[in-house]
Amino acid sequence: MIYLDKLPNSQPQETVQVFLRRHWIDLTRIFFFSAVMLLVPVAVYAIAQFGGVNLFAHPFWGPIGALLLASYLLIIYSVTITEVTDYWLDVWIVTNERVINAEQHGLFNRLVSEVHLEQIQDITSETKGFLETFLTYGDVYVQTAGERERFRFKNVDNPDDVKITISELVTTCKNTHHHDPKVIAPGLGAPTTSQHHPDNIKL
Amino acid sequence: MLSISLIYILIPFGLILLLAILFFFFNVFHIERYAIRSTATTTLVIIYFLSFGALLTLIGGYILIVDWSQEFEPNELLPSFDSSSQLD
Repeated sequence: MIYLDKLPNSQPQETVQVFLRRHWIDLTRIFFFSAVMLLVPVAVYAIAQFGGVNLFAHPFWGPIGALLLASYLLIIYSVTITEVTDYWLDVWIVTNERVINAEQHGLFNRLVSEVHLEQIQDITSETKGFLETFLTYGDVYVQTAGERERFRFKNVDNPDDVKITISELVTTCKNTHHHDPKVIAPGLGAPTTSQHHPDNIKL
Repeated sequence: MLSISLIYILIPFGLILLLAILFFFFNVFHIERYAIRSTATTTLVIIYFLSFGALLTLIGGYILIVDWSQEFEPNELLPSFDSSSQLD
């Protein structure tokens, strides 16, 4: 597991300022979908009973129907926990030095990348739609200099507050590093945190 | 005459069960490997184990009460048609 107070490649004075997951509504969607799927066999059974057919009474078709139902439940369960794991492993961490983006796509695809706060040029928050506005969640985009793609914090709670917090951290970081002659600018001299390739981060 | 045993339908079900168990352990592995250490994460793993255990107990309980050695003739399984009921 990953320790928040001991992140990989962390600097001595580095502390976590913001820790984000997707909004709880995403988790609710997963369970709602699973609940609807679980209602399908209940509905089929109820309709069959209403039509005077007892699906599980037959000595041959009864066990087959029960095993089909068991298989269906196993599939629904597997899909549900995979989605929950996907939700749980999508995290965004902002420290006083960098932004870490860790996203899980299914079971066999994981993307982890980071950017130093000094490299951030633009931060945008976006809330669109009725539910997003009502529950105050949305996306935050972090744009960096150069050709690197921008980070997207998907469906995070209070995106406006997150944007403001990151902006303040970026300003503080730039001021601190600007006045600190020991820090070497990214891309020059000794490697800094910003030069870690995403593939090298063991998150 | 050819008879069909119930035990054969347990084979495809066993494969589905095996896949579900693999998926379960892949999920637990990913949580253990990549999740942020917290009480919530530990609780989530416990919920995973309890819910999967409950599901397996439910399914196993049903499998144990059925006599899977029963054999059936195909004509017992299909709907029969009475020739005397045909139109004259």
